Amino acid sequence: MAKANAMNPGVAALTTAGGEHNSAWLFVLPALLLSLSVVAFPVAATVMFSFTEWNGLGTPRFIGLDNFEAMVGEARFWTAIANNFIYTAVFVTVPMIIALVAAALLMLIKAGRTFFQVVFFLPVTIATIILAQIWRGMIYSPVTGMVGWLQSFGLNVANPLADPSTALYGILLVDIWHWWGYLCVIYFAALRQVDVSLIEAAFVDGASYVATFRYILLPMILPTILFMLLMTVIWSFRVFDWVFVLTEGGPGFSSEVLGTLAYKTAFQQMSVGRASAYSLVMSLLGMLAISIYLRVQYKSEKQS
Amino acid sequence: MALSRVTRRLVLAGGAAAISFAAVKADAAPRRVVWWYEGATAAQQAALDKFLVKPFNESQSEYELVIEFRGSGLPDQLLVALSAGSGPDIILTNGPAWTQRFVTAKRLLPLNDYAKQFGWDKRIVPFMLGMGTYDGTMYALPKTSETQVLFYNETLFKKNGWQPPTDRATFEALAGKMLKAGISPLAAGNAGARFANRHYVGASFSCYAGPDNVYKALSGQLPWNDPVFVESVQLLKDWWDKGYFGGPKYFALTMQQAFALMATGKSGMALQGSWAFQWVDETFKKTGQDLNWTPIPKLSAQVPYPVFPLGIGADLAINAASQVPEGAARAINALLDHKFIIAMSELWGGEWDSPLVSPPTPGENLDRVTALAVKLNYETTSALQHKTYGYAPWTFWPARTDDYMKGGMEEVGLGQITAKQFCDKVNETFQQDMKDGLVKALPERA
Amino acid sequence: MIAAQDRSAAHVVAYLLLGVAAFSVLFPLALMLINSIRTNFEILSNPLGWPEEPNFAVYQQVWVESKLGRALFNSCLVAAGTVTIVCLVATPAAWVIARRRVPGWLVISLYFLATTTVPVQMFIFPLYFLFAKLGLINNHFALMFVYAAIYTPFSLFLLRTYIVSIPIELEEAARIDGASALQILMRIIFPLTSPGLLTVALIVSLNTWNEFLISITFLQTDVAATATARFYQLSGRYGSDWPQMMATAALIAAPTIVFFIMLQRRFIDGISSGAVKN
Repeated sequence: MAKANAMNPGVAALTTAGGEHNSAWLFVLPALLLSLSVVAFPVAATVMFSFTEWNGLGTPRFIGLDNFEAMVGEARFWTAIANNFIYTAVFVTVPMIIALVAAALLMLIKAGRTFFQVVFFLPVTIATIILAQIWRGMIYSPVTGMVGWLQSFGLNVANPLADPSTALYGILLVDIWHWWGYLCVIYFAALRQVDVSLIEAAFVDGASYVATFRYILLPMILPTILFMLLMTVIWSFRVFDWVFVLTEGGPGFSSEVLGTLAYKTAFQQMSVGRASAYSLVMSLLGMLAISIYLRVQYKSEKQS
Repeated sequence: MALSRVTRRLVLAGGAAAISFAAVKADAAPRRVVWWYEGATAAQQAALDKFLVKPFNESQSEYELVIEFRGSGLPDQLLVALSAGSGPDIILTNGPAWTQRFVTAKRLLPLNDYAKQFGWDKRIVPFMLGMGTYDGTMYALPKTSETQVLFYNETLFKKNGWQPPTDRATFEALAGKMLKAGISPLAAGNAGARFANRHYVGASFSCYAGPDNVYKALSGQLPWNDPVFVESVQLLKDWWDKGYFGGPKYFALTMQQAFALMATGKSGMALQGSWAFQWVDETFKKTGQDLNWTPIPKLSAQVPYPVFPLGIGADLAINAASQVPEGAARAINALLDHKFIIAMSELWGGEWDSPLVSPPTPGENLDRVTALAVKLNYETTSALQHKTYGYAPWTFWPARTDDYMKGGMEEVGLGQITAKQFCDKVNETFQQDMKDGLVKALPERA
Repeated sequence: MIAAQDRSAAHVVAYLLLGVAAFSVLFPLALMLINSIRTNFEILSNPLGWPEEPNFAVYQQVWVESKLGRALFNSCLVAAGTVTIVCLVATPAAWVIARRRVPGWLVISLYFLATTTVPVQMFIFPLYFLFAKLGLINNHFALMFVYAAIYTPFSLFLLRTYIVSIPIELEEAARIDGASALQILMRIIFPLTSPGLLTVALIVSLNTWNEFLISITFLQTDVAATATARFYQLSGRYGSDWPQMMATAALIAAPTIVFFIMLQRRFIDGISSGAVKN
C-alpha cells in the first residue's frame, strides 16, 4: 500500500499498482473533449478564417492580411473600438459605485435585507432581450414610453437611442440598471464575511460609519471588488445583446461595438473572414485586460 | 424469459396496428407549408388570414399554410437559415438583388415546371418575370410591382394655396415655405427599418442623375462616383441640412409614423413608395384629410419628366430544401388570384399588386384613395412601355451595395462622411459585387 | 458607539435610498405588466396610466397565437438537458482537479479558465457552419452540447470548491475497502457535493433560459425556438403592438422570476461563493 504523501495525499492514497492515473484521465476527458470540440477547435478555425475570405457557402479563399488591412482602414472599426473602451470605462465604474453604496446601506439595516437583495437581483434573472424591449418601447420611446410622457409636459427630453451622440449612453443606462444589483449582492455577501469584531472595535473608537466603511470594510473586501472588476471588464468587452436589440449599432454606426460588428459582418453580410478578424481583436482586448489584472495581482502579492 | 406464442402474436398484431394507425393519421394530417413574412399590423395579419390562409387550407386537405411574421430582420434571418439548409418553404426576399444571393448558393428551387403548370409565364409581366430568371432558369416570382412618387397632403396644400412641385426649383421653394410655416417638408423616418435610407438615394439617382446614367452604372459602363451621382447624394445632404427630413426625429420615427404626421398636416409631403397606400387606413382615414400624389419632381436639367423609379417590392421563391414544394407552389399561385388581390387591396393596399399582364379591374364605386392607387398602378405599367421608368435600389442593386447604402447614407446625413466618400464606397462595393458575378444583367432601355 | 439618534437617522436615510433604488429597479417591470393589459391606443395617448378596462385576455391570445407553450417547453428541455450534461461532465473533472489526480491538472485548469474569457463571436461562426453542414441546426441536443461546453468551466470551479472541503479520509477509507474510483465518485463525491450541484443547476438553467445570441443563431423555426429565440422572432409579428409584446415578455420572464424568488437563497449563496471565497 502506498504511503500517504504530504504534498498530494489524494494522489498517493488513490494510486495503486494499477493505472490509477489512467482512470483519472477518463474522468476529466469528457469535459475536455466537450470544451475542445465546441470552443478550442472553432476558436482555432476562427483564427484561420481571419486570413481568408469566405461567405459561408463556398470554399474559403486565403487572402493573407487583407482583412486586417481593410479593418484598420475602416472608420467603423475604430468607432467600434472606441465605443468598447467608453462602454467598459463607464460600465466598470458606475455600477460598482452604486453597488458599493447600496451594499454599505444594506449593512446598516437589519430588517428587509432579503427583500432588497431579491429586488436588486431581479433584472439579472430576466432575459436581456426582454428587458431591452421594455426599455426601448416603454421608457425610451417618444411615442409609447416615459420619454413621451415627459415630453407631454413640455420637458425637453429626447430618446437617447435616436441621437448618434447619446445612443451609446442610452444603452449603457439600461445595462447599468440591469447589472448593479448583481454586484451589490456579491459585495454584500463579502461584507457580511468581514469579522464583526473589527467593525465593533472601530465604533468603540468613535469612528463614523463612513470612515469605518472606507478604512476597514472596503480594504477587507478589496479582493472581491478587484475580482468582480476583472469579470466586469471581460464581460463588458463582449457586450452584444443590448446593442443589438436596442440600436443594432445605429444611428449611423455611432453605437457599434466589436461584438455587433462581428456578428453583423458574419450573418448579414456573409463575410466570415472579416467577422473572424473582428472577433480576434475582441478576444485580444479581453486577454489584455486579464494580463493587466494578473500583473497587478502578482505585483501586489510580491509586495505583501 | 420467452413469451408464449400467443402473446408474441398479439404483440406483433398490436404493433402493426399501431404503426399503420400512425401512418394513416400521418397521411391524413395536412403537411405544413411555412411562409416567413416580414412585419404586419394585427389588422393586416387578420386580412391575410381571412383571404389567403383560411381559403387555401379549406380548399384542400393536403397542405396547411402557416405564415410566420418575422419583422424587419427577415433578410438576415433568411441568410442565416438558408445557409444552414433550413428556413421556410416559401421565401420572401426584398427583391432580385437579394434573391440573387440565394440563387448563387443554390438554395432555391427552379420554378420552370411550376410556371408552366400554373401558367405564370403567361400571366406575369415579362420584364418583371425576367428579373427572377437566371440563365434561363426561373427561381423567383415578383410579388409586387412598386414605384416611388411624391405623396402630399392635398387638404394642406389647398388650405395654403400650394401647388404640387414639378421640378427642383418649385420643390425647394415650396419646402422653404413649409419650413417657415413650421411644417416639416418631407415626412420621413427610418426607425426599425434602416434600409429606408436608400429609398431617397434611389429616388435622387433616378430623378437627378437620370435613368440612363443609372442604367449605365448598373451595367458597369459608368462608375458610381461619377460627379453626376456625387451631386445626387450632395443634393440629399443639402436637403437634410436644410431640415427637409425633419432632423433627428428621422431616427425615432418609423416610416408609418412619419406618414401619419403628414396625415395630420404636420408634414407636407412624403417621398414614398406605392406601398404607402397600406398606411392610409391608420392615418388619412383617421384624420379625414386628403391624400394625393405627383411624380417625383424633375431634379436636374438632364432628366426626362416624369420618371417613375420602378421596383419589385418582393420576390417569392421556394426553398430548395423544402419538403412540400408542390404545396408551396400552390400557395404562391393563390396570390395571383384576382379575387384575392381585390379583397386584399382594400384592406392592405399597395402590397399585393402582383405585376399581372391583365390586372384585376376593381368595381365601379372606387373610393378616392383606391382610385389614386389604381391610377398609380396604371402609370407604373405605362412607364415600362414609355421608357419613363427609373430604378429602385432594392430591386436592381446587388445586396452588399444595397446593404452599405443603408448605413452609409446616414453617415452622409450626419456629416460623418462626404457625398464623394459615400459614392466612392458604393462604387468600390458595387465593382466587387460585379466581379463576384452578383450583378444581374438588365434589359436595354431602348 | 454611534449615538442612538444618529443610528436611527442613518436607518431612515438608508431605507429611503434603498427604497428609491428598489423603485427604480421595479418601475420598468411594473410598466411591462401594466401596459400589457391596456390597449395600444391607450398607451399612445398616455404612456403612464392605469388601464381603463384591463384586458387580461391578451395573455391567452398571445399564448395561443404565438405558440408560447411550445417555446417554453423547448426552453425547459434545453435547460434540463444542459444541466444534466454539465453535472455529469463537470463533477468527475472537478474531482480530478480538486485532488490533483493528473499531472497536467494545472494546465487543464488554466485552459478552462482561459475558455471563460473567450467571447462567443470567437467560436460561433465556424461552429454554425459546421453544424449547418451536419444538419444540426434547429437541433436541441446540439444546442445543449454547445451550452454545456460554455458553462462547464464555471461549474467545474464551483464544484471544485465543494469537493475540496470533503475530507480526503473518506476517500481513503473507501479505497482501503476496495472501492474503485467510479464507485467513490458515485457513492461519495456526487452525494456530498449535492448542494454544489444544486447551485450549478440553478445558475446554468437560468443562463440557458435567458441566453440570446446562440439560441437565435442555432434555432430558427417556430417549433424549434426556445422562449428567448421565439420572443426575438415575434418582435416582427408585434411591430408596434406593445400590449401583446409586453404580455409575451411577462409570460417568458415570469417563470424565471418565480423560480428565482423561491430559490433566492441558493442562487445568491452560489453566485457569491464563486466571487467571495476567491
